[in-house]
Amino acid sequence: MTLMIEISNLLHSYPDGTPALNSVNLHIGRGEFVVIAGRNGSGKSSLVRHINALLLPSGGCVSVNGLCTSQKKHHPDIRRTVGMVFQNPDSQFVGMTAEEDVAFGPENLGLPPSEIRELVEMSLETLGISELRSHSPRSLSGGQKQKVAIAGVLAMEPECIIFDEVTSMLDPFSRKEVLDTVKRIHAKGTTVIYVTHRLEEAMNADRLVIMDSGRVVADASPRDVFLHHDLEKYGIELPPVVALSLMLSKAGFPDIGLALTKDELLEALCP
Amino acid sequence: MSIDVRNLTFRYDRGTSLEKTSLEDVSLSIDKGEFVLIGGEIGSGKSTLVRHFNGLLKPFSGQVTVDGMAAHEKKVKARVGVLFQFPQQQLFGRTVFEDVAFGPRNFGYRGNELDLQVHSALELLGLGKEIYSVSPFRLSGGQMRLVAIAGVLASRLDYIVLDEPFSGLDAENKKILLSALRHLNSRGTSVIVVSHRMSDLLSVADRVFLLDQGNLVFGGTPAEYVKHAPSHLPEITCLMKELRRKGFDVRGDIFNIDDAFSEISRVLNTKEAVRR
Ligand SMILES: Nc1ncnc2c1ncn2[C@@H]1O[C@H](COP(=O)(O)OP(=O)(O)O)[C@@H](O)[C@H]1O
Ligand SMILES: Nc1ncnc2c1ncn2[C@@H]1O[C@H](COP(=O)(O)OP(=O)(O)O)[C@@H](O)[C@H]1O
Ligand SMILES: [Mg+2]
Ligand SMILES: [Mg+2]
Repeated sequence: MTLMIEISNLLHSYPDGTPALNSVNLHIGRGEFVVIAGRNGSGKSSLVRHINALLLPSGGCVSVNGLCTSQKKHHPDIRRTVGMVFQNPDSQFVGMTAEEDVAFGPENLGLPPSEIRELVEMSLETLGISELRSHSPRSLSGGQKQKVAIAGVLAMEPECIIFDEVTSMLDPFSRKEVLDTVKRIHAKGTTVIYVTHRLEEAMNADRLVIMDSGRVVADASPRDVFLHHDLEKYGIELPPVVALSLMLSKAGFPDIGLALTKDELLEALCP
Repeated sequence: MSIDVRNLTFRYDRGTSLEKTSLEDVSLSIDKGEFVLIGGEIGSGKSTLVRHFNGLLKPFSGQVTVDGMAAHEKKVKARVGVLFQFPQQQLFGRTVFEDVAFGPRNFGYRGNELDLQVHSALELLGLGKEIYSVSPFRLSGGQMRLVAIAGVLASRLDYIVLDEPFSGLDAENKKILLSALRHLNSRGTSVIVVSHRMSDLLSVADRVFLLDQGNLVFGGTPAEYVKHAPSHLPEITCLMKELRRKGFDVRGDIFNIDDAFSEISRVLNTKEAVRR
């Protein structure tokens, strides 16, 4: 796998002196699906904001496709390569209609109108929101707005998309829809960095990275992280099924083992 | 003493081409002291419904009354506190303390009493003294939410309505918030939570209401809810139901891990005993 994002000894303190990141090392390969989890304030947003140069290191180095974020001249390239979707869809809306909003990014890249139209169509389609194209943000629900925000980033065809807690304000139904879309986007070859504190959403990830107090405290497959780390210590709730399977296997039913999904646990209980 | 909703119908963008019905003939009643959960998918009308409880929206037809007064009367504001879905937008004070004090000050609290209420709300939510003089905009997203919630709690109202208070909170903060709500409820405050985090709340709520496309499709106890709405159940409850279907003799009305653990252990132990 080609290395795409290289974070070495990254330090970050905010201007008011708040330390947010402390010697973070993380390598992400092209096409990976990496989930980053951790309690509120553990530094997840601070970390991912370095990847598209929204924040710059106080120490150490972040590079994307070999371009270092501390050189300003690389920012346009880096931001084209790495797109970002945030938690609150309201603060991201710039257009009068959904369609306009999605077109905003590609227009800014100075693409020809025919190509913009194609990209907007493709993105609305991928998100399944073509019929919302002429809706104003006011008439959209939170989940719909979040899909518009994702379509807007997708329309710029970035190689990597960072999703920073994009489902945390959605109901389970929209959450699942948005997560399914993220998986689809990943399946088409986009590198995905997905920040969440809901580990249920991490089951399909190649890697699960856990942050605590500005450090990376675990970085492995979800299965290995669940087996070898005490996540409660880091303020993270295990998915109910995972927690239940671990409780049972530790309480004298070792055959049950670790189950990542409900079906795995059903299979272990009634083979 | 109660919030009464009678045949409430509401449409946004009345008289424009965008007009659509967001609540259709909804009737329900919430008694003083109850802990109520309002659930439903996105766009089902949950926020629209609770915005009527303190008169933020006025019914298109039907009525909403609080302790017998029309909900949009000014006096009702001193009884019903609402925390909106994006509470960050509710923050405006220069410091955390100022922000939390805004509500109670508005209701006439001053001096020591005001201080006390602000302190106890912040304390209840596990927010330490070190952040009192910090700007709320300096806090992490989760902390900002807790500060906004503290503002609602500090006002000591009879009914508090929280719209999706758990979204964006991590496990620790969720626990803190939940126990703060239980504490207030045990002292007589009605707590009305709009949330899709059914699994956290089913074991706490007295009653559950479910909205679907602007219609109230269920109102009853959590146990009745489990029988009613299979598609909205917590994963643990689904697991237990499927186990039953596979001939595992466990109870079906289980909402949390601890109960599931004891049920499954009991059955596994029995099986083991039979085998021996
Ligand atoms: N703009 C800012 N100014 C000062 N401190 C900040 C700012 N943004 C975040 N922080 C602080 O940095 C730390 C990490 O926050 P953040 O990266 O937002 O964590 P997470 O995304 O995991 O919740 C926290 O202590 C937070 O209060
Ligand atoms: N300010 C508004 N203007 C127009 N339509 C709205 C507005 N707010 C919500 N709606 C619409 O009303 C319906 C119910 O929305 P809402 O009450 O926000 O649902 P929920 O809180 O259950 O997600 C949705 O179809 C939504 O698009
Ligand atoms: Mg964050
Ligand atoms: Mg809502």
